Amino acid sequence: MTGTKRTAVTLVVITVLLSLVIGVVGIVGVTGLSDTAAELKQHIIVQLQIPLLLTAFLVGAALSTSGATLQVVLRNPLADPGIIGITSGASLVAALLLLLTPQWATAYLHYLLPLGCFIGALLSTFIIYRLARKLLGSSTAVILAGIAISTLSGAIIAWLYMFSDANALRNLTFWLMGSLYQTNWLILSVGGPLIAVAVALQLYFAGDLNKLYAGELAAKSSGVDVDKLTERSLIVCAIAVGAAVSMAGSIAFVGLLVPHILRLIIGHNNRYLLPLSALSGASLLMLVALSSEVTRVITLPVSMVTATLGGPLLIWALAKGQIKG
Amino acid sequence: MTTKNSTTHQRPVSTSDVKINTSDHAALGVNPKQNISSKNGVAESLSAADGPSEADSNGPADSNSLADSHTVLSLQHVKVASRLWVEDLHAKKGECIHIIGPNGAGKSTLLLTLAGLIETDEGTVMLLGKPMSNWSLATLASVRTLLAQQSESSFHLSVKEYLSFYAAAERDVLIPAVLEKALEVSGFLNKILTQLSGGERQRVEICRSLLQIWPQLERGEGIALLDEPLQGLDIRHQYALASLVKFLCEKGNTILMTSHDIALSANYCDSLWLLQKGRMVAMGEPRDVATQANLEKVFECHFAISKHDNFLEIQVCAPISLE
Repeated sequence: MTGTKRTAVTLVVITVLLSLVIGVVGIVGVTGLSDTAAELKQHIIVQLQIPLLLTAFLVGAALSTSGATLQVVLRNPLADPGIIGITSGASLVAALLLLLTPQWATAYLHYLLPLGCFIGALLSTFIIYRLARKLLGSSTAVILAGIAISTLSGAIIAWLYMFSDANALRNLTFWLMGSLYQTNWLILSVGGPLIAVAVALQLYFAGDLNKLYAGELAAKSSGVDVDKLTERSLIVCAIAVGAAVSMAGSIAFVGLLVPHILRLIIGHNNRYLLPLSALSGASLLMLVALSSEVTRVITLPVSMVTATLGGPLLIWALAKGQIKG
Repeated sequence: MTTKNSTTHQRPVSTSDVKINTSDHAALGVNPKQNISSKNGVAESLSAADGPSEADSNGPADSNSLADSHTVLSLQHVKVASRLWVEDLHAKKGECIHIIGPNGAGKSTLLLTLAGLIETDEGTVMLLGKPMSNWSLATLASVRTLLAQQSESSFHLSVKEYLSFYAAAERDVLIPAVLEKALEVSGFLNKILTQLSGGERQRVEICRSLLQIWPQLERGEGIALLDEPLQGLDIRHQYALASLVKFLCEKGNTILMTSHDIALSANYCDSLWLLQKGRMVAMGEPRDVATQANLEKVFECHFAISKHDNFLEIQVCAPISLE
């Protein structure tokens, strides 16, 4: 690693740690209300603030690492859990559950939702992968198949909208735009370990992922079982994204944005890129959480914030020539 | 009317061709006093270099029978999905083999088969005395390398970063001196891969594939399969590459490359293989294979071939008529 690169990595790490600290201090500190009883304060911190923080951290890490991995595995810089349709499968199942679960079963929704999202994410990944292999066998095909699946899920969700009551609709809308406030310790205790394992596995694949840059044959020649790696990476990403969606709904853009900006700074080595993506994604979402804690008045849908931040950044990255077809 | 094949060729194998001077020998760990074209000299320095470690570094070769202890790669009765039918092929250690043939003759398929990357329908492929099916992708990667024809990358990596991912080991100097002499890639290490010209990109790809097994190549134990490495290179780099391949083979490495430049190949290889429609038409000494009869039969062009001492001059006289 060259000197400049080391500086860049150090810089990124410092920035990330700084924003983590700001996030933690901010959110736990903002509890404010100095006249609240200590007991209540503790309750708010333990039951609301810490789960919020953990959710932001885990979801951010899961989405941006998966985005980075997918971009390399599919050899397409445009890949993102949202764009290639993994999120949409999870969203569809979530929508079905939110709108169709009968009244008596709502108590179990907390268990059902993460499980359902998960199955949704895995299923859509499987269908997309199969379609892509059968139809065209190239990495562009995965994107095309993903768009097809997203469109279909979107259409089904739109149909569901027509037939549901106002309350369920509000829930769903919030959920589809992403919200960090839907979690509790239970969901976290299921999703957290899954995300941790899935992200760790992606970091473990980093060395092999590096060899995919020269294409399939070159990777095979240098000892990487490309088919196995592709399959494993897709499954692991589906697990991470499924867990993330079950915690916070569908959050746009993080998976596309974070890796791209990082590549501009530290280059393409996945051994650095993947862990830093995890950290940066985590701190980005924690900042988003902090920003909606500070504004307080309204709870901002996360996708709204990430898209507002992400749009201009992505345009900047485009202008710098990082992203070309 | 003549094609580029009619270009006059320098005499190969002389040291002046590659301009590899003594300092490069030092970089390679070869005694600088030795002349590279002297096989004995190279053999001596090689045995000195890896004498005691030979037993364990050559692990898979232990099962070699004495009869073919010099064969590193062989094919027997191989059939690959209606593209390749080959009866019996051998590549000996240190051999420099060029494979020629028309488009679609099965040259790439043959290389992929030898690389262990396509399954054969019938027959056996042996690498270092061990059937290909017993090799794992990971161990293969440390013994042989493959330069494939197309490689895509839509990521904007720098050449330096790209090469570093494939280098067999962390090195202080990323590009070994000999590779740099022949390929001249140092000039664009900091350029972005996707901004290189076709020929520059090809030089980077060749460099990448050789870096993968550089420790083996340095010890003279490497096997490189290069699919049309000359593609896109300017004339100077074509000859530099052919000389580099020759030079590496003289160190004991085995290299097979496909080529469309018959005149160059005939003068820069130990053994010339002529493929047509998935079958081997002729193989052996270039002067026996690149005969007028063979070439005219396979390529359907008229050739004029003249022999000087150890130099074959091959010209295409009448290519396919357009009427």
